[in-house]
Amino acid sequence: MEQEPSDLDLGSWKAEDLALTAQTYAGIGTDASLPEDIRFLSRSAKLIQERKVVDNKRSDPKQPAVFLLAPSRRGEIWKTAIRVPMLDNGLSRLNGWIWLVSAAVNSGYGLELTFQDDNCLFAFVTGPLNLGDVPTVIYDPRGPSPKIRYYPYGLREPDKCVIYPTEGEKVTDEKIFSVIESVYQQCLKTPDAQSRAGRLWAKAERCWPSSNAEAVVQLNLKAGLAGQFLTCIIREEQTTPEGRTDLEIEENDLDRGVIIRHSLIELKILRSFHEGGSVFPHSETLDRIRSGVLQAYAYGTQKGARLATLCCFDMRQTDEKECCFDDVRELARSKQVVLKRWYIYSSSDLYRKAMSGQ
Amino acid sequence: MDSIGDIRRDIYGVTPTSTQEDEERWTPLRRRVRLIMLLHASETAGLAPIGIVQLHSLAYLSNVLAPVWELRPLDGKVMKRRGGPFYPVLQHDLDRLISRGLVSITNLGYRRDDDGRWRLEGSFYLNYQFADPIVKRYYEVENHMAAFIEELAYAFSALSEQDLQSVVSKDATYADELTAFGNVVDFGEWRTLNYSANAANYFRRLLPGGALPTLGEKLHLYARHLHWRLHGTRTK
Repeated sequence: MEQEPSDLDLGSWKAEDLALTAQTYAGIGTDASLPEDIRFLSRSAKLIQERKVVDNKRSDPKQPAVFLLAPSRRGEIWKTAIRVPMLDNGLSRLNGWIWLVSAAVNSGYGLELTFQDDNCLFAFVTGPLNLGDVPTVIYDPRGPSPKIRYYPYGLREPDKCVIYPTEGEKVTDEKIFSVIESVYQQCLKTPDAQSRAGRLWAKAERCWPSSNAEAVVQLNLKAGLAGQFLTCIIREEQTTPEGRTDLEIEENDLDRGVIIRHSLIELKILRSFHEGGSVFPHSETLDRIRSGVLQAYAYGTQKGARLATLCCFDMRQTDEKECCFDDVRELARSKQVVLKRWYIYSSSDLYRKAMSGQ
Repeated sequence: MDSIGDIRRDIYGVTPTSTQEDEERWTPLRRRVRLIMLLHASETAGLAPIGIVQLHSLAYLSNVLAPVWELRPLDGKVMKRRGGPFYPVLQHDLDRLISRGLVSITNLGYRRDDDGRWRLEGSFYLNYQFADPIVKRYYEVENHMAAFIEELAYAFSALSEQDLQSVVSKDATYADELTAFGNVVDFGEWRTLNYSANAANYFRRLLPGGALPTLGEKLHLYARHLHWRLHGTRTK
């Protein structure tokens, strides 16, 4: 009798060969779900970091490296450009080149800079290249501390620039919560702040949260954290013996060859109603919070994370502030789980009223 | 999310038919839309204009690796040729899209293939003036499939143009020695055994620290593994 095919059947391939590939390249492609511009910024930063490890004698010239998010190539000017595959292995010199890359930044078309002056560089990109409106990363190794300058609207808008340290933002608890706060303010707080593709409410006017609200929050936080901690990998939905984690911030320490697990974030949506309008009992909300504390502790311990936190996004009808944590404060303290909560308003009007103290 | 059937009803005002009739009627459309998405993904990933051999390779990879993203291959079989996978119907569809102005061609030439027939040679790219509405609609109705094809192109865009031309010769399924040249490589038609998808999924057991790979990570790791099989070095 013919055997059922096994999904472990690799044919003539060997698992140990795959293991070496996994060890060498782990982390690439984890950012597939991120918005294109954030992925481009994060991958560019990781490439710059990779190159610094390879060029440990610091022999690369002190010239900027320019990355333009413009994967397609048209026109005469690019006929002289060279394509560099596997650009992200760090073996190619980046400084002194303009790189035309995709969001994955794993290959690129390079054009060598023929001028030193920054004005000429900006004029060249916005003029002859006609790429002044695409997201741009400039790695600037000049000066006492090298910087990554990110121009989300391109070099035609040079004033709208965000500067990052090349070695990556230091991942502190305060910084993590400030990123979450910023994502909350910009993308989650009210229905108007939420994108059309990522609505948190099924019926905002009735305070019925969408059934996939947690997934929407997770995706927004992942993008926000990836856009801030450029040298980190943000992993979601990792399976552990204790269950499935929501978000993890990890960093590959290239110098020491170890993975640092900065933080484990357990997410919970607090709700008064199910998506269809049936009541979600208060007792279940409290149970959910308690289980969230225990999950954050168990996952964090299992993963060896420095910080374990429970982040609740409160979509209940009334804002009861931090009262929902009253029953679990002691437990969270004993387990060293940090508790955080953000209230999501079902309308901008309610938010304005709350702000004016009505 | 609407099914393709719902959309067909909305767009074309047709009612559902029997499964077989439905397949015969809509398979060509599905194929052509897939081809447009492959060309769009090659543009996004920096592979455009894409050579004909590379395009057929990408089409093969989109079939054999589809189960990694829990999708069904559009075509679960291909003739094993020394020059790499070649889909006659895809070529026919490509010609039709060129004649309709949806696809443009550059570096035009002719080449004699393994079977001694002359074949149009060139590099292809989408004409967005006409293709843009199709691409946008596809993202709306088949978001998961569109994301898969895009990520596949990103993963394989790490390779050089030459490597992309020959990479399938090292693919776990295509290179299986039990299938001789001139025979059919079957991974989804009559057989379900798919070494390529198995290998990509196997990475879930292998990441450092017990991390689970994302769907995207599996495709990228598989592409890098094929690169290693081509060259024997892991450059990182």
